[in-house]
Amino acid sequence: MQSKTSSSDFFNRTLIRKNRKRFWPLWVGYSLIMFWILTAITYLNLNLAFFGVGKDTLHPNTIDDIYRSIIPGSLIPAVIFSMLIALAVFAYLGNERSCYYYHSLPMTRTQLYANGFVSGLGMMFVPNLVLYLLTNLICWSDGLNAIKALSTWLLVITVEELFFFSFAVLCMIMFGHNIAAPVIFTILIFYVTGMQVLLNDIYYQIFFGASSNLVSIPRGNPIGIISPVGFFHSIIFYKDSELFEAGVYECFVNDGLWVVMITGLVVSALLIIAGLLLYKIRKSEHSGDVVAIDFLKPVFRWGFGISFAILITTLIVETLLGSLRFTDKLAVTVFVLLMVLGIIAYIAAEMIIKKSFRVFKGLGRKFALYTGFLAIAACVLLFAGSRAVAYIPEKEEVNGVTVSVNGYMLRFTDAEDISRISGFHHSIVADKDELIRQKQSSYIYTSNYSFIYDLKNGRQTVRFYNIPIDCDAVKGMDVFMKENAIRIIFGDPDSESYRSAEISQVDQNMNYHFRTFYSEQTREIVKCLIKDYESGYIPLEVFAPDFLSSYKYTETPENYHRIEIVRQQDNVYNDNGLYMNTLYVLYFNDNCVNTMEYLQKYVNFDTLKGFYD
Amino acid sequence: MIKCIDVKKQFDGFYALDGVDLHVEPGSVYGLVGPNGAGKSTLIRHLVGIYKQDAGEILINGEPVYENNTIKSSIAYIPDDLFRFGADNIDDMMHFVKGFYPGFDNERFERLKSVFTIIDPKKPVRRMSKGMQKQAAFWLAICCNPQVLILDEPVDGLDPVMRRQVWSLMMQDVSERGTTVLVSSHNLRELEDVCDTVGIMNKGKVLLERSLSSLQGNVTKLQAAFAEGFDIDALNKDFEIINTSKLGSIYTLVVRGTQEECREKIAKYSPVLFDALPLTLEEIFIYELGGEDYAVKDIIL
Repeated sequence: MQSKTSSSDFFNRTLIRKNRKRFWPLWVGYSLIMFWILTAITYLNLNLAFFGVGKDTLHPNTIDDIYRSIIPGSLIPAVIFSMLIALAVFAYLGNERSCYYYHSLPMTRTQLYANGFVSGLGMMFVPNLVLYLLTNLICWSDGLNAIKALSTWLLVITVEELFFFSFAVLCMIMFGHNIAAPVIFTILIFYVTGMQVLLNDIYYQIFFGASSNLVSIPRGNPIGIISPVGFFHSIIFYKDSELFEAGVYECFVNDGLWVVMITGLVVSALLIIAGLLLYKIRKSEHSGDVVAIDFLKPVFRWGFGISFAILITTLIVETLLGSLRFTDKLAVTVFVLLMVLGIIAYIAAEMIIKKSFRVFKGLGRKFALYTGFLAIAACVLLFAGSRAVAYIPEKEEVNGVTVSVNGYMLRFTDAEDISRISGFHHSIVADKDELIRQKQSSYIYTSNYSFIYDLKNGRQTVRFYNIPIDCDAVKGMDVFMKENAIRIIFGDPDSESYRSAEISQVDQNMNYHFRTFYSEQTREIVKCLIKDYESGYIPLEVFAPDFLSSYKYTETPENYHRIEIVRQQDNVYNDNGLYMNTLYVLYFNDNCVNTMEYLQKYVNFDTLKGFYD
Repeated sequence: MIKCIDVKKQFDGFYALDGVDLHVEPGSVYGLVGPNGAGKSTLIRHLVGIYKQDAGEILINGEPVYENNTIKSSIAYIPDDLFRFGADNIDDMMHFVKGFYPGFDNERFERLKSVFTIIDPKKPVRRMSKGMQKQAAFWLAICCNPQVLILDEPVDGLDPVMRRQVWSLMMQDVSERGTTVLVSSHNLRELEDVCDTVGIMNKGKVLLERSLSSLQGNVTKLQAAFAEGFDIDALNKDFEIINTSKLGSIYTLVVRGTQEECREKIAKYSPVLFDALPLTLEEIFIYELGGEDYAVKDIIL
């Protein structure tokens, strides 16, 4: 008897149609959500949201909204539906009866896998394409060419869905239980970032100076793709857009997007291949088991054991052991906790795999190996931490240092500057005990300082301190800042690093107004601000209060205009190895004649006077 | 048609199949019997390509079954534990099955509506009783016009009329189309009526595999009464006795050999009365497995 599903008919229409029919609530729900996020919002942006505004503003805003809101906003439903649809289409793997039925059908594993992929991805890709065309049509009918922005949306969403769908399918194949698979999928997509956060937090609690700030992790995170939600999100949020005047504008997306897209595609392809290979060796009799692939069982035991130990240790340290912070006692306690919890979690993992409490017999050698590894890893973790925080780079070793004061990045490359920064850093470490003692008072204001050293050997060293603003180091730092404010804050005003600026305020009628400036305009604004500051029209404490720790808790200045300037930070990277942007909030008033003269071409300040956000 | 050679399958260190050898001739009905846990369902899952054996060979029409679409599309399989899609009625399931089995016979499906009248074509299968679901599975399976029909406890849950109807349809397929049937069941009485060959499994092995006639012809039940003082152990010289029981003065002996041989041998011992009877399949099953530590025990709790 000739099979309908032989090589001449690799894809089975019946199966694809069946999936589409069975899981219609998923693809209909997905389509409606994406219709709202993309098509409806774009339509509203063009027709209702900015009623009375001319097309010269409306069109750039619509494009800008696609990049700034619609693409990031589409990511979350894309992740959720990728997982749900993968879970639905491959749910048969988690149940013996359905698994046996599917595997008795005249289809090879490769065909079942491929048909599942086509069904699942089709439920998202087809609506994406329809909505892409529809939204383009809406824009086109309004005279707006949004093909580039909408194509970026389509590309980003398609790659993201391909990635997460492949990832979820891999989880379905590795973990043969219909509840275990989505739970483990959710854990895995945050796994690396989550572990970094937890370990950083333990370090931060034990070692004075250890950084808990992931943003400052240098040179990117090469395995960040294993925590892909953060990976995809950071790249989208760090995109830039430049708007040009007079209806002629283009949207600029930085190179990071392409890095993520290509990485996403490559990793998706690897996930698809891995999924297929595992599916081919997956035994039908393991449907319903938590771990469905035999050789992954040790990985699950070790992964569960170690992760659980780190998670619970962090929670205990955070909630119960605050009084031991920065002490040796805490280090010993953490070691004991990691060991005890790690052993308990390993046994729990074995119970989950075997679905039985009777797992102690036969643990033997593999348990001893795990316990030994855990002890060594915990020792190394604590020893490495204590060594690392004790080290402060000398100026001879350093190419440049970036100081983050309450989140604001300041870059120093001059040898004299580096020397002074290193001096402040040494004084903080020298006063460690006193600073910790002072901090225990609940009435004291503190400031966050990060020191990011770019070493000549190509590595980076990061330290973080939360210290009282009255300490000598902070006072010295503020004096230094005041002396060198313009040079430190603005660097080279002709630099390409200025991305954009924005004035946003509420007028007397409580209407919201904003104006975005592209990078060339931003550079002009910066030059005007510098001129006004140097002419003495405005004191530093008002002009840039965020840079001075001593003024951290002053009120927002009244009758001043507020401007936000986005500047790309050279040599400072986000988790994915991409340049980070920093948002500077600056204040100026009507006395700043140069700035006012320039801005009045674009902004009607009379309407806004006295009502500043 | 179906051939298993030294098939082994291990689950967590336990051999569910421990060197199974099995042969089913084309166009025959093969009854697979055995106690619970003998490995019948495991073997059947290998035969339909769900499980992959750890060792040995499983061939249908001379080809391996696992991942072989051509062979699998010629097999219809009814498991003990039926699967159905949530909201599907029999028509929906028919359309699904039709998409996989090119030999599906629409006309036959329509004709059989008059047989399976109890099944409402618009009612979701999951809302049907177990027996009705079994009927629906049978209906679809035989409409696939399979070359091989593999059934795991097929009539479990069916009422007596429908059982007979189902067996009749199956036998019609065997006689008209030469369908090969392998059926696993605990209902030995029914198997006795339909099977050509029987395989008895226990502990992951096929203990014996013979045609039903030779199986029944080779074991005889002797009922005899002897004069007072007769030593029943004396019969051991001439008979291979599988089982002995006594009710009043009547001995019931299960012995190896044909009825004629047994009649001739027992006559030498001058019994007061005797009769030689064939064994039912159920009796063969019980007595054969008795030697494999699976005897019926008189237990009073």
